[in-house]
Amino acid sequence: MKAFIHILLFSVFLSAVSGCERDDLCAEAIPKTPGLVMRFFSSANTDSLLPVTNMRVKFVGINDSLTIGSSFTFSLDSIAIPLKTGVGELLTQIVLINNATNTQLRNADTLDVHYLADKEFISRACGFKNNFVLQNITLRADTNNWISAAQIINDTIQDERKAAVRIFH
Amino acid sequence: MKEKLLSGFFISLLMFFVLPQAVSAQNKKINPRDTMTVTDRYGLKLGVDLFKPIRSMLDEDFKGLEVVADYRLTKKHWLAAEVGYDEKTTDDDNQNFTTEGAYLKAGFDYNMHKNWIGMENSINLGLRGAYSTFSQTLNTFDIQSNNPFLGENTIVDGTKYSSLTASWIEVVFGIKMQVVHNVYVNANVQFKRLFNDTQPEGFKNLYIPGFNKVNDFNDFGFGFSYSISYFIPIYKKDREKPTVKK
Repeated sequence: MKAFIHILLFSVFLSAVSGCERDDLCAEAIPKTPGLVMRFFSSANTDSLLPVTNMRVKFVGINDSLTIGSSFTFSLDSIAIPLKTGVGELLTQIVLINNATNTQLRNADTLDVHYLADKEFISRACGFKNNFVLQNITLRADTNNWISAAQIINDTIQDERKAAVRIFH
Repeated sequence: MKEKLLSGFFISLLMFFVLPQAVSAQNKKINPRDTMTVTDRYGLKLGVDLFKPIRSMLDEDFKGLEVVADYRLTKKHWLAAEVGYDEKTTDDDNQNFTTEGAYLKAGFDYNMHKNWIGMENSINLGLRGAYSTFSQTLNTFDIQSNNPFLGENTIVDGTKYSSLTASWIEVVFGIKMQVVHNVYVNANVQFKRLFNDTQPEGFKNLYIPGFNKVNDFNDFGFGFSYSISYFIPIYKKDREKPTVKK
């Protein structure tokens, strides 16, 4: 009887300890809501990639520039831009500024991205992510657009492995 | 002739081994203690879990109750069953959901404990098959992004996923102690292995009534119970005695 009570107490102890195992930390490497992957092409030669010089990305209504890692000025031919998360029909207004470091040359163009957001469960620790279906992307016309066109090439966004949008400039 | 001799040899050899035992067995049988008749009481124990109602009072995110029963089959075997109901709201970092449902567990207990005459305690090793039918209501959830620049979004949802089921088995270690005549206090721990559960579409069962917390990374679960039950005697049976040669 005594031995058994010890076994019982020990198993309660074991379970209590194993109950403390951390399954409530979400690993950085686990894919969460993907960003909108844009690739930049030359408008003169639509097959060739053309990096944007010193681009900054902003959002209508938000003062800070987008940071990826620790940088917020990019000279890249492709970029993953986060979209607003949620459920249902959503709109993210993205402002792309080229030559952002040069006050003379800088030029801001705004893209209105309309899309549908759907939730997907990842895990207890990570919660949910969004998957998106792009509906349309429109370039706001101004007196001096540096972007000539925006084209959706993949409307379903589940990860950041494929480009979703081509920007010609 | 040779065969007869041989068989005679074997018979005597057999006698050599068996006879002393038979004699010693007879010696045992004249021990007056063994001439007493040991009577076991057979019947039904009915009880309730004590922990769940207490938790229901203290924890506003939990409501639950459980009824327990066992029925003695043989000297060492009992049929055992538990029926219960849980309503629990789980508040994780990334989701808040309410699980509501009933469960049934049925199986047997095996008593490993040898009682002194007149005592009726038991130390059990048991096995149960369990089944639960329940619903999950996703109250709120967070959406995480690869790049959290636009902030983490908490969505108030309220989607109810109904008609979910789960089945699992449990290995139960427990004690049942008679504290007052016919009143038993039972304590046990349960180790569970989930076999089958219908998943809510776009979500996951993170808690199942009767199974308790479900882990992301394996199918094992844990539970414990502390209950009090009343024994309803139905009949008595003499323990089988070794036949005595006169």
